[in-house]
Amino acid sequence: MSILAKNSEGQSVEIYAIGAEFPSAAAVFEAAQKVRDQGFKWWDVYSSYPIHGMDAAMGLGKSWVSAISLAGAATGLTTAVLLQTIPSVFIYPMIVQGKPYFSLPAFFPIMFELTVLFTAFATVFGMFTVNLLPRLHHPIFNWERFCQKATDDGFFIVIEVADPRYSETDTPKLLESLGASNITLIPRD
Amino acid sequence: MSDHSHTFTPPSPERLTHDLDRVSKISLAIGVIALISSAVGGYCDRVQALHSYLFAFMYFYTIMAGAFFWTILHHAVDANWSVIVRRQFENVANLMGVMAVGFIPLFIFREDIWKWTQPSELAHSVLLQEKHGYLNMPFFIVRLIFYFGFFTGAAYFYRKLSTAQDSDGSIVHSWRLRWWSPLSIIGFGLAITFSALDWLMALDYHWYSTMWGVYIFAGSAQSSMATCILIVFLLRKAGYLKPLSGEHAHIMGKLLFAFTVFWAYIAFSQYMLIWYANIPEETVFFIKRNNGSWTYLSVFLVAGHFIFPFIYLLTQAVKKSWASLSVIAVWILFMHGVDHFWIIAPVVRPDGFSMRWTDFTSFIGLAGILVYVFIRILGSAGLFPARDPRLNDCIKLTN
Repeated sequence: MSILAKNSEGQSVEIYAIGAEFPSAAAVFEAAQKVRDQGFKWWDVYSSYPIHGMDAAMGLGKSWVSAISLAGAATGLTTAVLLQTIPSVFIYPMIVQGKPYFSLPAFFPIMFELTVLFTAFATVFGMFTVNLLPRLHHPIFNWERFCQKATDDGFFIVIEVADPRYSETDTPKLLESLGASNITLIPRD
Repeated sequence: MSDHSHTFTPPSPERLTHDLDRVSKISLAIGVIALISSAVGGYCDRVQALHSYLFAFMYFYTIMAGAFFWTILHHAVDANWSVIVRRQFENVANLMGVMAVGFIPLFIFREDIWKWTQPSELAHSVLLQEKHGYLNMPFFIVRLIFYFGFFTGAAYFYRKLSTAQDSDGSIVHSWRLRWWSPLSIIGFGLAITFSALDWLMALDYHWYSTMWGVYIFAGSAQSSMATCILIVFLLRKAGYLKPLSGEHAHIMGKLLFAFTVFWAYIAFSQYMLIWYANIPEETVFFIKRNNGSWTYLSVFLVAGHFIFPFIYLLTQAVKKSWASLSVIAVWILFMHGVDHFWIIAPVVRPDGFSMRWTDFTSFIGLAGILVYVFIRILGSAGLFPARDPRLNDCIKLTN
């Protein structure tokens, strides 16, 4: 489904989302709870700093990143065990310092470090993947006021038209009733 | 978040309303009877009974020192989240006065516990003569006065000003406590490190480990966090401290997890350096504990003190529930006992793992008396600092 609107030059453009600005973090917090309760799924809140409790206010579930981290940790641990055991026990068995070939205490630091390293990689890249990053452009940047204020002192809620609950008539009214200003249709291109 | 604070009403101060008088007296009676049986055990086998008592003493001493550490740490970093639970750390730290009295038998019978205190030992041991600059009686007494003077005095000071704020609500108390906290941290670091050296490392004056103080501190901070989780859980069960949420449990669970890992990190660092360098003066400690039936206890220590709590505490949901968190807190307190038993018992039981009945009686004896005193302390003031300026932020905690 694509929704069209006329721009200032009278051409018809495809609409990506509807954006609304809120005066404070508290206002956007309360508005987010209302939007969540309306059952919207394809929407987001933008603020120049993290707002504690926003994930619950938006109804976001638990992130998948921790599971990816755990997978990274298990991979790192296994890699470390194999990388040390295979050479020092099977390929080049050598007595060092009178210790046995398979001397686990000597392996632990590497096991620890590779676990941490792989966990860190998995977490960072997992986070990028879950957030669909990196990307060069986003339709939200077509909204000029957002570009001016989102990283400074603006608080925004943006609801995509792709959301099944989106309605051309009701959604702007909803945002208005929540105390929003500058309600704007954001073009896709 | 302070932006939407207009709906907030501060919780009213809470005091202990349950009548725990009978419980405390029964606990005192059990404690006294158990300590008397320990004394009888000491009459039969003085050395074993004294080491049993040292084990019980160190178990509780480290928990109290750890509780003091958390109290001053919260002030030093001006923590918001801990305001409601802080009073329990202050209460536990204030039990240190009991430990000061409890040290008297150890001091009287010091020659049965610390060999270096025997005058004859100094005469024929060249090594001890070299270490005499530190291991001598006058300095030992000065250090004793410092440990107990510092811990009892500072713990009293921190609770006194905190309870004074309950009545007058003055922010000056918070400022004073914060001002003193960095200095207290220095005092704490010195006291926990050198008391660990004096009472545990010096059990065998030949042996030394540069990691020892940190090792004892790691177990101490971890077990005192577990103790306070348990106290808070029981208080909530009895209907108190209701403003606390799963978010507070989550933070305490994260700290418990962090110190589980920290203990393992320090314990392994100590083990690996000694194992790798293979110097007889250092390896003697682990040879005793990694041979015979003590090996099984060593393996159990690694599995029970680190691997099991590590896996248990890994998921978020476990840390957010007071009930599941207190299960692991009980386990960690048990493993803290295993840790100290593993440090002390092999010194006098070189033939292998064995437990004496004095191990249990000393432990129950000290525990009974401490529970009695703790209930008194708990009832003598509010259950949380009701007029701390950060209470508002503490209750609305999200993380």
